[in-house]
Amino acid sequence: MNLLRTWAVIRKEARHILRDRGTLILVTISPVLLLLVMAYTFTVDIENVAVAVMDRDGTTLSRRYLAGLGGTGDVLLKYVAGDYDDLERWLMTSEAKAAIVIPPGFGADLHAGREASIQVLVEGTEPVTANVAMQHIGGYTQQFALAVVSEAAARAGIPLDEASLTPVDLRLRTWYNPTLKAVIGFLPALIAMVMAMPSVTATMALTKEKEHGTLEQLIATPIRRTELLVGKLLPYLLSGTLAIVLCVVVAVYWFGSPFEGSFALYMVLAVVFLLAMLAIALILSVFTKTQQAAQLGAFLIFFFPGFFLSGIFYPLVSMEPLMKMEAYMLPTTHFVMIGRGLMLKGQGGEELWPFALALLAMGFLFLGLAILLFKKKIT
Amino acid sequence: MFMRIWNLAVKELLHLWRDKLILLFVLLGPISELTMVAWATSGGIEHIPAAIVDRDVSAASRELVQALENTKTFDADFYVQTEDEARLLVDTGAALVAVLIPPDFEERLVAADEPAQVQIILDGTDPSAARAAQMSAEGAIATFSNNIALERLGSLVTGSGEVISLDVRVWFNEELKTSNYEVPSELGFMLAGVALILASLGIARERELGTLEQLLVTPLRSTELILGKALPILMLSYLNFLVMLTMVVFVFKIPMRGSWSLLLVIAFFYLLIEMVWGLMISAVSRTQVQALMLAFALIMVEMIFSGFAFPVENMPPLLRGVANLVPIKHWLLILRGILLKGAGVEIFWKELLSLATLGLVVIVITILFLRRRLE
Repeated sequence: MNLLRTWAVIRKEARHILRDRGTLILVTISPVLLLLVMAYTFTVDIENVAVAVMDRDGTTLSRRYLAGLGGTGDVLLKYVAGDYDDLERWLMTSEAKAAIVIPPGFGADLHAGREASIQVLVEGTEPVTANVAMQHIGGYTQQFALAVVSEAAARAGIPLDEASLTPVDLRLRTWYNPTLKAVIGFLPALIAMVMAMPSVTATMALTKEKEHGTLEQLIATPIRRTELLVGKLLPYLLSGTLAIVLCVVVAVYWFGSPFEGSFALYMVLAVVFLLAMLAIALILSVFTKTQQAAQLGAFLIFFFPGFFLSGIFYPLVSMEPLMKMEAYMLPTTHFVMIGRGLMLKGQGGEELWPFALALLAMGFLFLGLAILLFKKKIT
Repeated sequence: MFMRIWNLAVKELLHLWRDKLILLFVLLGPISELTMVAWATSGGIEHIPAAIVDRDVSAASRELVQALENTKTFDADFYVQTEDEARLLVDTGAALVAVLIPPDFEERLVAADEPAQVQIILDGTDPSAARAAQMSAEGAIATFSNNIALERLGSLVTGSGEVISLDVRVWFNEELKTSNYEVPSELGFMLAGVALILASLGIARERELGTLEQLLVTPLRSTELILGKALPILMLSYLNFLVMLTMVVFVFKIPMRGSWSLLLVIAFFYLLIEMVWGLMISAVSRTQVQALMLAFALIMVEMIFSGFAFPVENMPPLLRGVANLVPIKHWLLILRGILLKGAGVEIFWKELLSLATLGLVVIVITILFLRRRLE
């Protein structure tokens, strides 16, 4: 490998990136923008779930039940229905996510110490919201029942203290992310995800040379394949690294995320991660003939698996073994773990080496494969 | 005129046919993505490994752990002696949750003079798992606690049984399967993504390669050029949609409760809108990389406002307003409505109207714009 020749290709590619502002933006700025948008839209808490109510009892107790439920802030009693048709329509149009029906006799049953009942209809097409609604309605109902019973006890002259009403006191603590801001927990994973952008761009750029026929010209020069590949990749690696730094700056200074571990280690591993991703881009570009195909491929290969398999939204622990295996084949998965470990947990090499090793292995494996395929394709 | 459009369409189809990879990506891509999504979301968040620090070792503490395990959200995989050991397990990622039960847990429950303490520690670096664990733990422990409270009071005040029984019925998605939400969303989203990408590079490519000039000197009129470009994309994307829909309904068994013909017609019009957006991008960008950038930006906007990753209702009011301007939001509501609810036009006419308005505006603007650019 001749350094001078490699340097020439690097300069050529760097100029391409700098001249074509679109590419520059795509590589360095777009990950940061994506990070900002995703951090704001994916991490909102689910509250004020719209609920429709139908009070067919109309007693003091039923009104108190509903007033208390509306006061929790978790659900919003948005609609008051006159009959079942109303409820059905609101659930059908998703205007209400759940409906609560208090049957006649609710108050009387409670007073008499009989089991009272409440009907809850849940619109299940959005399971996350539906679960939140069910959980809150269930929790509130238990509390309400306890309050009613304890009042009855008080009336009967039985002394009550706090402790007998809350036998178990649950304290929740969150490690590594004490403020419990969801966005802080998501940031390391989102950074790993948005760093697909440099690879998408690299795939396009490599295919562009092919489409325009300029690759032929490059190959006709004394430049060797390896030099050509390394020279082409390096500018993307560098601008990608810059993008990661920008993302971390945004995470720490804009969102107030901690950075507990070693930043140097993070950057080293980030470069390895980018290398592995870019190597995949190279492999992909060996096969693509047009930029259109390259873009479609990059979209399918870099974006979706990163979204669904890397453990960002669906924890790895809940995955089936086969799927877990597939997840671990993605560089993104490992970089998610590394980001969480270094940014939030303050881990070091002793905990993170398996992920680092996996990334390194992938980087070299994919790069070797890319060079091999590239050589074969051209000669 | 039709002949000329058809000739151009055939040329475009030949391009696509030659570039086998595009066909491969268009047809196999969605299949693999759908499989992945269906697979990833079929289980829900379960079996989170928990480290239990039971310093009480009593019947009550065992019951509590059992109550947590019964939610299926937790697996009591590790029993350790100290909080430090639990911390180590969470640090290394072996456990995502630690449950701390102090030595006087049962004693306090029996004495009933102060609340027995339980501490649950969540790994904040995995927010999805932490959120699921939190909801589940709160629910399980509240029930556990209330049952004890009711036992104490119950012997004094009421008879046996629950005070208020909740009769919960879930409609449209009886088992609350996440995949019933995510798979149709993915179907709707892939449709948009593929149509946008195919269309956005169409004219930009000809311009970048200089072949647009050649096309412009032929007798082709600008409208014909646009239609000729659009036709193959529509055909391919619609084929793609049919393949995906078949998979969603027959392979992944997502319920199809509504009208097939209605869905097929609306899907076509939705596809048209997305494709026109793509053509617009194609017209404004000079190079394919620029077109790619714009298409990606649009795809990201669509993904964010599709309610696919996160429900739109919970976004700040401004963003909720913006969401209404994004066609995919309406399309996904209609798609899920037809599939899961068996809804008809009378249910989603508002969404349909919004979609039609958005479509009309975009089509008129694009045609005016493209004709100017091409003449």
